[in-house]
Amino acid sequence: MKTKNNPLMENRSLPYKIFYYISPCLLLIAFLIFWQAVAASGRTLLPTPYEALERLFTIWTGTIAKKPMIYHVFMSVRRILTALLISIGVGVPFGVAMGWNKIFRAIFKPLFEVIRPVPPIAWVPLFTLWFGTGEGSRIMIIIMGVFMPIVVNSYTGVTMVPEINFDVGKVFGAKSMDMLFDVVLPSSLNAIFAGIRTAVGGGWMVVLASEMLAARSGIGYLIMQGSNANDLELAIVGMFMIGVLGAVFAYGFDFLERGLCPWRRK
Amino acid sequence: MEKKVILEASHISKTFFSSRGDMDAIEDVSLNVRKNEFLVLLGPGQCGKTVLLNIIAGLVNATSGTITLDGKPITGTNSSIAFVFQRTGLYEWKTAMENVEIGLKYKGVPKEERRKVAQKYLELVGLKGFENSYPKALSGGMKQRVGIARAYAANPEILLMDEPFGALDAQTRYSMQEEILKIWSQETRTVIFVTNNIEEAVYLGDRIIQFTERPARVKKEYDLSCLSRPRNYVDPEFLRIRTEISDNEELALE
Ligand SMILES: Nc1ncnc2c1ncn2[C@@H]1O[C@H](COP(=O)(O)OP(=O)(O)OP(=O)(O)O)[C@@H](O)[C@H]1O
Ligand SMILES: [Mg+2]
Repeated sequence: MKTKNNPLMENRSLPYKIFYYISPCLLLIAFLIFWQAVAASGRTLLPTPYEALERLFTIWTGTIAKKPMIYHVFMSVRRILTALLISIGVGVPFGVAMGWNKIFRAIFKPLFEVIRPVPPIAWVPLFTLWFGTGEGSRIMIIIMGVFMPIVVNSYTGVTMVPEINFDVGKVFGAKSMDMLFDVVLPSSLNAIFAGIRTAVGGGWMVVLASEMLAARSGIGYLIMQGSNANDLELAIVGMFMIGVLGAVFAYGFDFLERGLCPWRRK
Repeated sequence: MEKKVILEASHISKTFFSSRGDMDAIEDVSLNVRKNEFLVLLGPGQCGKTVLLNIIAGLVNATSGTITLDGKPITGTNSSIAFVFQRTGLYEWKTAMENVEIGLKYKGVPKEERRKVAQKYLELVGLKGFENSYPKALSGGMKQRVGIARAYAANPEILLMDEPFGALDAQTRYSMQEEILKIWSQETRTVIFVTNNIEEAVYLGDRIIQFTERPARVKKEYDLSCLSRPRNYVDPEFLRIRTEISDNEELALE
């Protein structure tokens, strides 16, 4: 929960406040000057900040690998969203079931603990063998990256429901299903969303990696193209797009969480 | 005024077993609860009061002894017994109204009907206008009011109240004491009220059962039917009983 006033700002002198807000801008300016200096020296292929910015605007009118820029962005977003929706749809019930039911937990937890440490990219050879090199294979790899944090957090969320919540339910006659849907699920929504947030962050990494490995579209592909064709402007624009999309996703899920958890609003 | 015994605890003991040694929380407690009385269980902090209420509510099993309600032994939780929890135990994801409704909801009462009942009890505890507030937005006293309304709305025979005012400031505490008696006289139910505050016990109780330090044993019973209601904290008879109880309490410390 955000407090209304920034606690760092309370009882601070005016110079401190100015410093607090000005210093990040100064850092950014210093970074741009440094970038400009390196680029202008001509000893690297690095474009100047202005050139990169210009490319960020002009790129939307041209095509890359015969497709418009918006198509590449769309493909990446579609991949991560598909993987996220499938993982949430399967992972949340799976994690909740593992926390809720002892038998289910006894069966699946060991299997899960073995699969968990395997990095998603390590599945590439197997998935390529099973699903080919198409879209399905890529989405499966992304799922391997986002599924785990969602399941783990849903599971922990359920096991951490305070005992008193169960006592209240029992005293007031909650049946098993009441307890699950009316008590356990809302109590663990917080943890479930924490899992989704982690998943989104990790998800972008896997999307990029999978697109860099073998794809003809997507932001990861753009960055690889930039690298292969010595077109660093393109790579920088790709990096920038990931930053923007990452922020949009983070805000989007925060918004969703606030919608689903009205009790946590101020 | 010998009233019918509604709940009877006989020879209740509770020991918590753990690897670091066994711990006796309750030792051979027997008591009777009479229909519609306001019974106060008075005991020092950590003596086992909450454990005893949990046993009566059917949340915890006694190590030995039995509890009977209307002559039938209690084995688990029971729709005839509702609980006002020490730390409120409100569901933070539910509004005041939804919290008060849960007893009826879990019983399968249709929404409109349970809304009406919940509304009645929310008003009875003075929370009209706060139906749609979430617990987070309510003060400590208001949260306990929701807890009390929730217990009443479940329509139990017996209400267990575990130090409901323990965390409130003195001013709020006094007004809540007055109010709980008002509610009790309007909605006649049997109340078992736990506290460690002697003044509160004498102000509220028809009867007080005093417990020892842990493990809790029944130390003494006081019949306060001689004190007419509404009681006055500075009435000589009030003060005499209060002193008598606190003298007894101090003996335990020696
Ligand atoms: N589940 C449990 N396992 C082990 N020990 C427990 C358990 N529940 C309670 N106890 C112990 O039993 C003792 C009595 O606890 P209880 O909560 O009943 O005290 P209390 O009289 O309600 O105290 P307070 O006035 O602080 O509410 C405490 O020492 C507590 O640590
Ligand atoms: Mg207690």
